[in-house]
Amino acid sequence: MVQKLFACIISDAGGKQLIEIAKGFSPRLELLENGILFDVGGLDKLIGTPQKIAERISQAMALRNMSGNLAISTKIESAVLVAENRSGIFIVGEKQLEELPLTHIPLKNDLHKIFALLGIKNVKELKKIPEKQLIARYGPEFRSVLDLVHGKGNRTIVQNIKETCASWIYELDFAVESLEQLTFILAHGLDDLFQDLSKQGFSTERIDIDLTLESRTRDKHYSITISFPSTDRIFWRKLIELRLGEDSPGAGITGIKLTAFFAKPRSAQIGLFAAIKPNPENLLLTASKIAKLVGSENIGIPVVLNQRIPKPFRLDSKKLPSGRSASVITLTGIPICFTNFEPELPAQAIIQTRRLIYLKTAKFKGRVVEYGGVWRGTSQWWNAAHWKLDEWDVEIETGVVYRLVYREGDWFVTGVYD
Amino acid sequence: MLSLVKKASDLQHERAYSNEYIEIHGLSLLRGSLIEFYGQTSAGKSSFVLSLFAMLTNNGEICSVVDVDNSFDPPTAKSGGIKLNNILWIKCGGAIEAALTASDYLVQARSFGAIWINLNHTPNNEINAIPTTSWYRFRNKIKNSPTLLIVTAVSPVIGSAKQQSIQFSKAKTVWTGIGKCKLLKEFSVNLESQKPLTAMPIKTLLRKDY
Repeated sequence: MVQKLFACIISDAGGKQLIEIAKGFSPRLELLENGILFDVGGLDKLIGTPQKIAERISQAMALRNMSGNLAISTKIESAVLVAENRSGIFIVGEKQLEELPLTHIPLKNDLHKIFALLGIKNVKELKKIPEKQLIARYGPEFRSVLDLVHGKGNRTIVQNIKETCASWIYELDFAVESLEQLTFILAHGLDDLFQDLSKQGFSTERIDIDLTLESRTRDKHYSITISFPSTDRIFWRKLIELRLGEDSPGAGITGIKLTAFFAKPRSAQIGLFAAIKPNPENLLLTASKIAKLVGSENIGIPVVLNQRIPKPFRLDSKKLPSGRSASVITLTGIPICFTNFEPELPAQAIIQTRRLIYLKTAKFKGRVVEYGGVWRGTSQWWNAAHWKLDEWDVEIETGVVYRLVYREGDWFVTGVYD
Repeated sequence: MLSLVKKASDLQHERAYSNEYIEIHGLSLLRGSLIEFYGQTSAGKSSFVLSLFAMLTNNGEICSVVDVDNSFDPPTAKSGGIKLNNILWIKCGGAIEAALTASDYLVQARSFGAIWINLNHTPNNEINAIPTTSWYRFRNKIKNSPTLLIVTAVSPVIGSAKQQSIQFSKAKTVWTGIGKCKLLKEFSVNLESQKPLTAMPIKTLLRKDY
């Protein structure tokens, strides 16, 4: 069983510095009014005895030029009490507690005076008085004081630091100008950043990149957001590469800051009969590569609009396929598919005795064998987007069935059935 | 007691997701292969692909449409039963080179259910400019993956790189109604396998959904 062990630093240094030090040892921290408390239980296997842990913490404090008191104890109350009242580094045992003057123990004011009159000056002297007599005289509330001086206690760490992100900062001696060098450094940064995230049990959906530029006063800022949490370093590196490739920093880089925003890790899907689909990282990378090729507005999922317009659909470039199966599957035979001509083909239609008899465009021509229609459509007469058209399905002698449209005095072939 | 008899639903799953054949409307399409559907316009190539996509997307597979000439019509796809949320639509605006590179990226992902390269409206001179090596590249890359790579065109385009080739031809168009009030009802279509060769063509009907 892992031995409980807590460290408390009391210092004038800012909370940010204290958090940085504590996070180097534990993800469980509690920021105090004038210091920080953190769980160092289990570090014995990694670092060694409490003395060695204390040495390591004091080294970390010295690295940041920070001064303060440090106490390590198996009880939170003892660690806080000693760190608050004694200067230096302590592994709190019975002796350290006994040496504490009673004025440092939180008692009601009159009790301090009473004990002073009785000649009881420190904890050691207080502990000599039988507990039962003290409780009979000063009431059951005195039990908490006795627990404190005997090194008993059941307080737990209240994790009151709610961070939303982790950062990695790197200052360069010489400006980096090639993308290859930059991505190499970024890969190193991502490694550190994701280690930090995994220590804290988080994943990320958003990474911000701030680049300090050599020749510009303003920094270059990039923000990459994905729709699922991932700490796949290679995936993020490729995304960053693609983003930097799309929008180059345009100057030598002298400083890099990576910020990963916390997100709950993705639950792993494990199943023997999982549907065949690319994992989200793979899909996003593939889509990003294609978006670079055809334009980000030309890749996405098709959406049918519930609107009365000539082409009631659009491409939603903000979304990628979800890969969810349908709850109800109703597949019938093979429906005839319509495909659009983009742009529409201007056409000539010959009409005799109120019947379509011939159709001609730049790409095809032929005698009309059969046709269905007319279907009249109109809407939005109240604004500038007003539209009105007549449609026919027309089969010409080659056996091909087209959709013919008459709009504003002109004929068009808008698509074909295939 | 342990039973050696599997549930029908389990068998359906195994068949759908194993690296084997997909059975659809009388055709067996091998996963991980390069397949060509060709034939005159209105012979039902696109309808057949949509029908296949409907089956795959409803099972939760992600399919991709490489829309070389921006001809894909989502309302028709939806009425054909396709789950549009499982479709990755890539509009290439006539840029055939971009379409082929995009297809290459999709093939490399190796986990799409099916990829459809639609060359139905692409001019012949552009199609002929595609080097045969591109198709061989696709064929090699897609091997041993679950993806069906389907190419549709008016005439054969893949050459010897294809693993399956189906020729579509329309037997007749059926209209209903009389006089001026007519409606397109169905296409009667013949499917003939060119590679591998099969003895008899498959006859099928495509119905217009109003």
